[in-house]
Amino acid sequence: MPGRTPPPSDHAPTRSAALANALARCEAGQGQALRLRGTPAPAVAAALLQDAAELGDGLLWRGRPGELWLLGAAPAAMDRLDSKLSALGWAGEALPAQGLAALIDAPVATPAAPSMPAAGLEQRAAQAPAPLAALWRMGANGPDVLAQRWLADPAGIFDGPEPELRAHAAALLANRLLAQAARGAWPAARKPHLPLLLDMPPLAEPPALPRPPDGGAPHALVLPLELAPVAGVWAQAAAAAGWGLAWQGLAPELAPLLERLPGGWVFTPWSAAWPGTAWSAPERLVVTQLPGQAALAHVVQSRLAVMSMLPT
Amino acid sequence: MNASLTWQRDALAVATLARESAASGMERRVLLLRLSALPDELRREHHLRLLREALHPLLRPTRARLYELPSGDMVAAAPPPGEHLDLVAATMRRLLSDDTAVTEELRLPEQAAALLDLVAGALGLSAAPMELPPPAIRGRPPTAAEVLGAEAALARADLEVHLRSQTVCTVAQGADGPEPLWQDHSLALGALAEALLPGCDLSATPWLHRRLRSRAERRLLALWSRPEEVRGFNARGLSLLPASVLEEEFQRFDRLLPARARAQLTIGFALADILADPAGFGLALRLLALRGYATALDGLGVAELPLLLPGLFGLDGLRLRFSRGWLELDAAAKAHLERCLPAERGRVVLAGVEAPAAIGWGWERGITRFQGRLMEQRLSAGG
Repeated sequence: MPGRTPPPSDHAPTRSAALANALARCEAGQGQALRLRGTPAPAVAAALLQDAAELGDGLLWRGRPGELWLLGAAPAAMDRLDSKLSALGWAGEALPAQGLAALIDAPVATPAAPSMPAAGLEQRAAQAPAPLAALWRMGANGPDVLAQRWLADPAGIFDGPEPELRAHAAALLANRLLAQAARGAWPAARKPHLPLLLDMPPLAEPPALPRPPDGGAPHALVLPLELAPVAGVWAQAAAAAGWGLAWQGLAPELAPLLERLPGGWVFTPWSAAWPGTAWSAPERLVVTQLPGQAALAHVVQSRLAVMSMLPT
Repeated sequence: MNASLTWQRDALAVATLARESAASGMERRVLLLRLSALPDELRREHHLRLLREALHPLLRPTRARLYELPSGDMVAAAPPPGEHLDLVAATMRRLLSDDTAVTEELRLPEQAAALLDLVAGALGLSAAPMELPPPAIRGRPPTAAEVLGAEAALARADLEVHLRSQTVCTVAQGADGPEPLWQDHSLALGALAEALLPGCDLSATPWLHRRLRSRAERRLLALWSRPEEVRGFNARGLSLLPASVLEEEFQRFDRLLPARARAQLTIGFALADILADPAGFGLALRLLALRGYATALDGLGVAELPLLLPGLFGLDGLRLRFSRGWLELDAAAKAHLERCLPAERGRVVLAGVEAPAAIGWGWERGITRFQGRLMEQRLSAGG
């Protein structure tokens, strides 16, 4: 077949000529290999790897979903790429030449297509169960549960990759929680002795707010961070209805804003930048989306509060 | 026929159009040009003649009709879809320094009463001074699926029509006039959204609004990546969502733009967009620094001042959006602003300048870079 290397045997996988050439450069020690997985900006990663491929006579290979590979690039180009990646806070995984062919040829698992698309989102938001989460901090005798959060978690109604649609799904759910709260239909798993935190939609003007449930005060409304410029209006409306304020979405990039946010708890998703960030009031923070045991250990040792989902 | 008779005849024709539309349900798109709202120095006969000369060729190939009212306002009416009225509106806004209060769109029959009020006012039949018609009733929030559908229409829409630009100028004390520095560009999202999702209110669904905006920004970046655009690239500013910088269209634009041109492009991020996507902002900022672009905190309003931090979140410059509120800051707010303004005042632009008071306020703080309708007027007068 023109442009392709003939397979050496019936069972050997077919590789394009460019891929075979890049692999051969790696195996001959003329080029190096690097794999980048799970970057938050695949287009940026691909552009950087493409630059390095052009500069270092390598190949950008996208043969595996969610991964970008640079194969056969000259060491100088690889070094430059490395410094660019680290400037963005990323790290590529250097792949040894030995075993590279097997890695390339390993069977590819096709990722499942989203089963909950944008169409029908509004209908699903009206029906999906809304979970409760627990806020806890490790105490001397084990975890102390500090509060519960009635959460507008979009995972149950949207599983596409688009962040705006995911955030929209969360806003739809928050609107529904608000309507349920207005009817006094609080979640059955609520513990009456614990404060309840209620997620709010990203509305610049506060809507009519319900009274909080009985017991467990102080309760708080959880505002998305983009409402910080209208915090004063929200704080007033919330206080008039008997609520305090909490915040959702602060990230290490904006850590100094913590002291400007009125109210109590501030929910921040875990990220690689978290451990190196100086927070002015860590006692207010609740860490979410912990990726694994190492992150959990860091958070527990630092006596930070954590959010965990409760079984629905 | 003398002008007075023409105006009266046109006013009656507009009133008849409004009544007939209300009675029969006949649909019309109406573009109102409130020239009476322009300052006197822009409303002289030769200005109006220039406007008419600009308008007639735009309307000639269409089924639109142009009416002139005794108040000096003009009304263009067209049967639906009347898409060319968008072009007319955009052209007028460009000619009138992007003053959105001067152009207004009405839809018949829904807003027939507002149009009739306006005609009555123009004929001197209303006791109260003529006021803007009441804002149209807010539409319903769109669904996610509708916005995805609008994205397909966006791919075919003429984006240039919705692109606005203003000149950022240096105005030094004692200087003869403004000295142009660069063009600042922005997409008129409101008009674009109205064209793509008529009758929908995207303000109730801010994340769907961001979604549409992100797609429009990506299309604009694709337009700017055309060879002729890259060849003629000049200093400019553009406000973007952080996520737009991380998309393929920006990467392509970046690859095509010569390295020396990158520093000539200032990418602005609004505080609300930074707050909505802190992680995306952090990554976009690092990428832009790596590639050599200038960056700015864009359009900061007085209500956002308490969230401003010294260091500008790592951005190079700051663009303040002027309003009367800046004149009324208390001592603590003034001190906070002073702490946060970059020592090198060349990194600060004061936008929304419509009156000399804004320039005076800027000068008091050492700001000499300005942008707004007043600058556009002075540049036109000087040119």
